[in-house]
Amino acid sequence: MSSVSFVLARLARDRSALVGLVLIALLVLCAVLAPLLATHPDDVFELHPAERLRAPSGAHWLGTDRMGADVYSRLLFGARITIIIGIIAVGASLAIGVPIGLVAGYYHGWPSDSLMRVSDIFLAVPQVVLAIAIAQTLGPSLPNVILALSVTYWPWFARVVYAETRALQKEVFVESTAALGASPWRLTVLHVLPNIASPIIVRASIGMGFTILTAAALGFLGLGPPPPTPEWGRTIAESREFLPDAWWYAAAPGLAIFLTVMGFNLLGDGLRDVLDPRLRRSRTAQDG
Amino acid sequence: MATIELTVVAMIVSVLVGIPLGVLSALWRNSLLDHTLRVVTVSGLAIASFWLGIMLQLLFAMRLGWTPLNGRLQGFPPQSITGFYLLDAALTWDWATFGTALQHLALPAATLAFPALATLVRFTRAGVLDVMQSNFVLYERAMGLPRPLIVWKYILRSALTSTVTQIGLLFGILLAGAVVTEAVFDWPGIGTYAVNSILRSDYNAVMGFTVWAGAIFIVVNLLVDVAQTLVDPRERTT
Repeated sequence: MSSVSFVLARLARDRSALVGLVLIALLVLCAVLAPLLATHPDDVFELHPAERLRAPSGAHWLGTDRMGADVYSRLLFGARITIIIGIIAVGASLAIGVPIGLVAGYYHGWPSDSLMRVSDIFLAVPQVVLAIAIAQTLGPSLPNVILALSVTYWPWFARVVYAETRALQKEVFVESTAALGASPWRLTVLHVLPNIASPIIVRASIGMGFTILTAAALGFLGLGPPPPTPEWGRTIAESREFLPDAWWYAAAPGLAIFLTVMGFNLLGDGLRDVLDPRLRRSRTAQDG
Repeated sequence: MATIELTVVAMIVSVLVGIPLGVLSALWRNSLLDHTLRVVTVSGLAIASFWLGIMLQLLFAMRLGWTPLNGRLQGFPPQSITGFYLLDAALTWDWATFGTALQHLALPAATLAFPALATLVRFTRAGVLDVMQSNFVLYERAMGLPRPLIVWKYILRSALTSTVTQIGLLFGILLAGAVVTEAVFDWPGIGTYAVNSILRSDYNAVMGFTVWAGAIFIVVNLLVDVAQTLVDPRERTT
């Protein structure tokens, strides 16, 4: 636990990482307390045609949308979808990418080479394009978006883990553990994995931001969860025909995406400085 | 051709603006410019490009009326020589068409260029700072060489080799970003075609686009590796 509090203490001293932490905390708070914080919690499914496209006011803080629903309340519930997409997609990418990277990094020879070539195939096509193709083939729904994002994001983790494992193999402590007769399983899980946790955590934080951005793009293209789900990207797409009059309708969800992604990016940068001593040294050499 | 024109213009904009800004913010580290740029680059990487595009449309096209809302051109396209409207118009001395083409191009190119610009500024800044700490720069300073000479001749040359790699990788990212950006601006390129195919559930077209994007991506990466060996003598021995 002391190492966790050490990391938190260092993060708190880095101003931009602190901003990132606060943004993410706000997002989680919004998602968890959405029913309490929402001024019109029923508006996710209810229609109020009479109150269509109202400008922001005391009753509707961020105005209303084409169905007369409160934009602010829908944004809060949209935060839940965003968090679910981010956590499951990054979690699944970790679950696929980390073991593959470990195995490919630990063993030498054609099986590990072929594992890395498979991940290269996924990296050969830009992630957004591949995710679009997969989501479109499977049909628009929340699980399919998550699946498309996981399938396209795991190679990044496999890459990082592979490179770090290969580098660690030359370390004396790994060689001596192997010489003591530790099994490959014990060696990788108990000795290698804890030592490469930092780059994985950093990658995961940046990956959350990246995944959320891609998910929003998929939603915008109509490949996300179908209406009336208050997904942020889809909301922006819906709002386009009501521009320029209903500017709040388009501006609010975009701002929400922006702040969320920025939070994860800032946290990722901050974590990298704190967790990775090699990069920290070069950073202090640069900045001080 | 429309997609390539858009991507190339966005690339040129981000290189011409991004690299000088990155160098300046490294040279004047912790100045007001450096801090402002840091905020801009962090936002550039976090902003959803389709949202940025819509907001630019809202401000410049709908409210201010400075630029057209979408599309590539009004009226007839210039005589086709290269397929790039800007280049064709310039070659035929048709400056009116050149102007409208440029107006149509401004917003989508800016939208597409912003994230690439942010990446380039960050990368260039880190590269230049790295070189400035190196021993040979310290030596040149100690020798009393004038600062502009050190910056132009020695720092930039060694700092920018790694930026070449980054530019190539950015090209792939821009290509992917073009899908969404073109959809926002109704740019008649391959991205709009892909998005329309998605909406019509035209699987073959979507697969075709995916393969096309993958092929371009691989070719660009190959070119980057070649360019890298040309620029960086260390790469040649390996």
